[in-house]
Amino acid sequence: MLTVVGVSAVILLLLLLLLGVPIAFAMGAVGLLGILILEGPSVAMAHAALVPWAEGRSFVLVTIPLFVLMGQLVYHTGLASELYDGLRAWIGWIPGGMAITSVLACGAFGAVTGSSIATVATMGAIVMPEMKRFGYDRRLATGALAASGTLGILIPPSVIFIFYGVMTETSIGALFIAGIIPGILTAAMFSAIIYFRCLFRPALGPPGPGGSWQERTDALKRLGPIIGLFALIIGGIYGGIFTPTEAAGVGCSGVLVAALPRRRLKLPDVRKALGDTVLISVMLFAIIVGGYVFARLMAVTGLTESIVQVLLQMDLGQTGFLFLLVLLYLVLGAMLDVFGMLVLSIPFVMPAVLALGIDPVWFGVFVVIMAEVALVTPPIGANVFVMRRIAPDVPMEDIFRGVAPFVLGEFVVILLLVLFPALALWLPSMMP
Amino acid sequence: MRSPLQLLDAALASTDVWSSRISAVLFHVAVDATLPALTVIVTVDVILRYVFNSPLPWGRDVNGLLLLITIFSALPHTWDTRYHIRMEVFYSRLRGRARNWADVATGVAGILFFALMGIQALRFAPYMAATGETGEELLVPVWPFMAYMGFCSLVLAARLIGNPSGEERIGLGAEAPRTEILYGETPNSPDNGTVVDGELQ
Repeated sequence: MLTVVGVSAVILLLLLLLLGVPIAFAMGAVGLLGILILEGPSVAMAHAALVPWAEGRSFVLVTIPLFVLMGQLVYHTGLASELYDGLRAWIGWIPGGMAITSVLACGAFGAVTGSSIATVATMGAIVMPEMKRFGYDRRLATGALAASGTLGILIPPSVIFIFYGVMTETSIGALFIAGIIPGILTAAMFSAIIYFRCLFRPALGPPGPGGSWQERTDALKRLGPIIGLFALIIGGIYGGIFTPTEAAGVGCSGVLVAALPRRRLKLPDVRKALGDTVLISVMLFAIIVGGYVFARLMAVTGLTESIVQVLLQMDLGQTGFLFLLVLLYLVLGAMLDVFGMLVLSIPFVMPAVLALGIDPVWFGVFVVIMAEVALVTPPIGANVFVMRRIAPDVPMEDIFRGVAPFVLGEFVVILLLVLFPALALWLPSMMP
Repeated sequence: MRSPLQLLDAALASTDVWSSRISAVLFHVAVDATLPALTVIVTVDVILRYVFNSPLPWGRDVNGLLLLITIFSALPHTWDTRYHIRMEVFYSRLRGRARNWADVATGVAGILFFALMGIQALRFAPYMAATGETGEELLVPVWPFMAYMGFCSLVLAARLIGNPSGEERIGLGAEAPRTEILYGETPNSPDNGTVVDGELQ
């Protein structure tokens, strides 16, 4: 009976998702229905109210709206163009320099906004006309921008890390810190791909104008606010001074204090940022609550346990299991957005991850890199669609082709992480 | 004399209007009051903790309750702004009757989830009042917050009844932000190509 209900619930859930029922609604409704059948109406009703009551007051979840708000505020300050100009003065003159500048600028901007799509939309609008002006290959230009936008979810602070941390009860601070080296590694990988391609085929990305030393010194000053904000948040978390929630609050206030007096941010912008933040937070909260209810049903039916047993009996080992997950996330990423991908897979995958002795912090980094891949691969590839809006003259197919070398780069980063787990785990292990 | 179907239509239209108005007011509560208050209190608490070694003893309780109010206040409006993530790959290609059935499935699932949440929260509230349940540090009764959670959930259930297809609405009187770009997804499928430049979500 338990297995029948469990399997039926999974089938019903998939059916509802295919019909386009919002993920939160589908998981919540199927979860409650299953619990109602197995444990009776009183237990189902209690879950319906107690899960949101507990999660809605969770201090950890306060992190989500505050970091989202910080990203929204930074977005409205117009710091992105200063960031790009500052970096271009230093590296714009090397082969593929403007594309490399865009990679680094996306990494830095994404770090403080935590949104890959916002990063592509903002940086794309600034950088794309410049690259066109200097005759950059359109595949290289659009591919570099779409792929670099994904750095925003790997380099901390990142809303995806918070979401994963909440779902798996993994330290959000440790996840943030674990994302730093893989994030830098990915940015370096993307830059190297651009550099060597342009070195051997200069027509792809001719060198741009170099800045004078005076310009470079001035540029450093312009980079100050972003670097300061990043250092404040990550330094505070790494040093054990702030919890992630506190760091988010301080980050929001820091942006306001820095931007309002200099008129970089107007009150309507603040209000818009607040409105957007609330709506994003509600969307995430609904998924978390729906996911909890559904995971509870899976636990009651014992289906999660059965899947773990099957996976363990397959005797794939850590590497084989991770290879299987790469395939799973490529399929899920083709159908769902990154949050949907996580909420559907984590309840089943996480117990197997723990049973195989894989570190949950390391796995968080792995999952986020797979989410990055999903953001630029067809058919969804949300970043590519945003890029297409910014460069309407470049066919979608060309952008996907332009992204391909960077996707390969992501897989190399995953391989390096598998071979050298310390790349993700060394920094968190040094935390006080 | 109106037919039963006409009466049903009128009832649905009326539900749409009043729930939309309430949804808009609730959204303002979150945007103009509770989220700013949450941000300020978290920051003040950090400053008091690390600068004066005197954190707010009730900080966590109040922040938790402010988060709850923020989330549930905006919950109904999220439906009207199409923020809930769905798998768009097939849905965006559905037309006519198939699309209507998909919307019915969404409505049924949403109403089941949120109406049960609302009803049970409103049943819990008197129980919590009777037992005098309070926060851990903040000794104020928490039953009004449970009741508020139930009320907002029922408003969302009413929105699902009044606006079953989730047509985009900017609530009556609400100068709601229209946002298009999400973290990882667009409310209107990327397949539809409806991302608006420069609008960050």
